[in-house]
Amino acid sequence: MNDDDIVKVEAVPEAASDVRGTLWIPGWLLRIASAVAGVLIFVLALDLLKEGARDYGRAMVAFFSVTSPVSALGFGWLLAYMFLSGSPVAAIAVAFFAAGTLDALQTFTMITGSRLGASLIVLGVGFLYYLRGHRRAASVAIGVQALITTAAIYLPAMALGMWALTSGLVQTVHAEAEAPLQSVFDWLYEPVLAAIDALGVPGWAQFGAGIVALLIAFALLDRALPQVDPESNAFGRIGRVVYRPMVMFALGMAVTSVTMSVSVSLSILVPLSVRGLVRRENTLPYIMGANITTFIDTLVAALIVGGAAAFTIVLVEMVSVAILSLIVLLFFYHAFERSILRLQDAIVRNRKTLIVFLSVMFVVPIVLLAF
Amino acid sequence: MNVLIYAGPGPWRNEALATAAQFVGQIATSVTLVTGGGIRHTELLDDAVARLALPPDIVVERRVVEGTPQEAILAVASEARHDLVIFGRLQRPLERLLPLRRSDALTRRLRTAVLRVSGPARPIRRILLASGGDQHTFATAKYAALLATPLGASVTLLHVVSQQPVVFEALAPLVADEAAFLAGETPEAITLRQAAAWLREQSIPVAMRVRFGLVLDEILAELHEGDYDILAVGTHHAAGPLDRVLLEDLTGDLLDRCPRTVLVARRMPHD
Repeated sequence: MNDDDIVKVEAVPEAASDVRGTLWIPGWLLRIASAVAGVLIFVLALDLLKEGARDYGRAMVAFFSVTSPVSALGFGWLLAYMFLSGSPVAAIAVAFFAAGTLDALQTFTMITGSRLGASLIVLGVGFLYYLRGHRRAASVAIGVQALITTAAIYLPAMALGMWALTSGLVQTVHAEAEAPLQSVFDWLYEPVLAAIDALGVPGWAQFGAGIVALLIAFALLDRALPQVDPESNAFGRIGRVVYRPMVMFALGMAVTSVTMSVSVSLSILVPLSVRGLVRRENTLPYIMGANITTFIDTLVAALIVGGAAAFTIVLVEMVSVAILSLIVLLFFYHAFERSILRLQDAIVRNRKTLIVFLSVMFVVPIVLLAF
Repeated sequence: MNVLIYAGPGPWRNEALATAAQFVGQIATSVTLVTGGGIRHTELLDDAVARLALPPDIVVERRVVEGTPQEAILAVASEARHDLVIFGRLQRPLERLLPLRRSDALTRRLRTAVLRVSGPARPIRRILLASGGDQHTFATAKYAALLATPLGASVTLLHVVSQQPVVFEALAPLVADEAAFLAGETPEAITLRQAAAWLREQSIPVAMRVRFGLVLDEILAELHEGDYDILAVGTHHAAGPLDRVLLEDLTGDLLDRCPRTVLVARRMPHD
């Protein structure tokens, strides 16, 4: 074990001459503990959301006039802005579906909306830096790239997925793991949920507690991420050389299957990059790959609270995005890359174009709610 | 300098000989002319000798080999050390669309520098040297100088910046304009300045350019906008089998997409 594997938890000397012993906990142990706690709280959060959604979810959906797949798209998009993340919103969509608040198509488009909203968050944080005096347009470029890449793949993928769901093509897909997974968690959470019911906690409070628990769970899972060592890593030259698109695509998928968040996966590139810079050629396929496996947590959530039907909806989303991404990578990659990066350059050209773009991104989901 | 020229049948044979004729007589000590397809193409070698108009002090060897042009070049190149191999593009236009018929297949297997001629033959006046900003730039500059010196051609050093910050506060600022980048202290800017200084010492007119965008697109755009005659690049720097799987072969991509003559430089033995 080396020093990097150790996390210093407590080292508070009360006086210079009175140095107490220091408690060292191995980093790997802390990460495992975070992962286990994260998973347990994640499942509890889903149960709370599901219970809360039975009553409060209907009121919420009625308040936002979510009556169609289009309005559900806007709803998921807006909620992702509110939560500054897509994963909790996707989990909420699944919980709504499990509670019967949303139908299959609405759930599907709400999940799509959550991913579009999540992409804007990367850009939004960058834009705050930009407005605070960091005037380099390049500082927000990767956020713009993440958003337009996601939109360029997800919107046609949404059409493909909707067709698959409405044509009956996916009815043969079933989740085999539903029963054992539920039985494992049932004995663990049933006493907790029964106690909450006995206390007469209202639905909105359960729903709110579910959201808080979900955010805590994701924070704990983030802490469980392994450290990246750029020196002994095949991708340590990500800022200098150009990797094959398929390699970066696979890397994006692999990293995000652990981080489950595109923005976290992007930040993981930092220790691999030179001076915090990474080649554009490398980031685009990486984002495309990350956009597929970012659904893994939603897939798990669907399996736990929604059963086979919910699992199928998320799987259709994931497969549609994967199919579109592979078609682009195999047949149109250079044209796609050029188009995305030209659009990115046009958007970050100056402050005016950036503000217009951001405004459109905020207005579009609101407009979608009207449909 | 020992130069190997493929003079056998091929879609760009005339252009390859016309291009080689501009400088081979001034830089070569010996020339090996090769053809594939067997003895029926022997007269093509005599025709090449006439077209190249080599001075009498240059040793000329004629080699006729059975097999394809690629097989012929590889067979002769493996027998003796050559410093430069010159051949015309061997793919026909439609073959370039096939994913397995990459232009760089021959270049990759050769252990020497390569001049792959493509496009109409034109006087070599302007050479574009695409630099990754690393030490390989100097090897490419030496080969570019070999051609530029006898022809009085100029060399433009081009570096493409395709990096962008991963996070919003990059650890070092990304210089986004050409003049500031060239004046900066990044390793790439220092390499460009050093390579330019070395070329000036060889009495070669030098310019430096920095472009921002995708590497391949920007190199090809500069080649087109600057109306350069030759593109000079280094070889693909795959250090091992893993690199060959992971890294994009930009040299191969340029050979596939570049409509003009490409000089692929390798480190000289004495470097």
